[in-house]
Amino acid sequence: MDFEPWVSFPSLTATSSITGWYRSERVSMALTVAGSSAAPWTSVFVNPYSGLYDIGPTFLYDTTGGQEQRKGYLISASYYSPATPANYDTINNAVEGRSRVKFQNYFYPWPHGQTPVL
Amino acid sequence: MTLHTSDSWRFDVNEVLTSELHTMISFGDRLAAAGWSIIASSNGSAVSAATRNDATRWNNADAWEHWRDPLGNRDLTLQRGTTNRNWRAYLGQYGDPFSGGTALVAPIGALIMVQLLGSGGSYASNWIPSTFASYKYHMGARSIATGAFGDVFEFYIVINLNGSGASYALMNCFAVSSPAITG
Repeated sequence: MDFEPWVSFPSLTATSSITGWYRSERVSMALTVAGSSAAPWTSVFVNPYSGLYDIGPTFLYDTTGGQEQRKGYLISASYYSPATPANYDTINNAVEGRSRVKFQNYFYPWPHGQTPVL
Repeated sequence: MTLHTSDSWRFDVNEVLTSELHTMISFGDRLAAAGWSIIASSNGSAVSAATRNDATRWNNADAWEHWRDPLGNRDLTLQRGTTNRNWRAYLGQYGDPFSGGTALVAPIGALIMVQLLGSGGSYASNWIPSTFASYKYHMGARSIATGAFGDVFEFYIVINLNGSGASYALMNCFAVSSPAITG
């Protein structure tokens, strides 16, 4: 089996949402999917396989505040509150290793020092 | 298609396409910069080993590229459909290199692959918006393996409509478990 579960949430015409956690296994493998686009996880994500808050730092969720998960722990992340109508924000864009830009409810890695031109 | 290197990623951000093909060419540039190997490609007429597609080669139905991650563990194929807006992509399993392939059919794995882009073998129709010039494209590929077991090379392509904030995840792969990060 794959050592590491991975996730993909491609979207063509709808706003981005996690449509499932995909875990591939070699034997009798079917793409294992938990969750759906109709009921994506909200709040802080729990890995449906481990039941733990061990989702990678890419997956951040924002409503009014911010939480970032690192090694299973939640920490506070600083970023700007969402501005209307834009739905992107940055986290410490000047600092290497902390740069993220928020598209919809998800933060994507971003080169530090590069201003998003959205 | 400026290459930005940061935090072990190779990025192209804030990019406005000059053609639909621009997406996969730039994405391939990120993969290469992150250490992925090009195994072969097709221009829709013939297979060429260790060769990438440029705009001319991509501009044919069924053209494809076959990539392998920097540790040689997992393969990725990108294939164009009948137009420059229709695409599909497959990501293989760990330790299952893709093989075979013809000018019209991209190589496949012996085990079950995951279709990242498109579904059921079909192409993602109009994956590239017809108004592509109205979008900003952002993409990246990570040069180090991540995840708890260190075997996932992450990548993504996300776009947003200029000025509106509306955004769409086009294709991505992220490790689920959290690696140790600092900062």
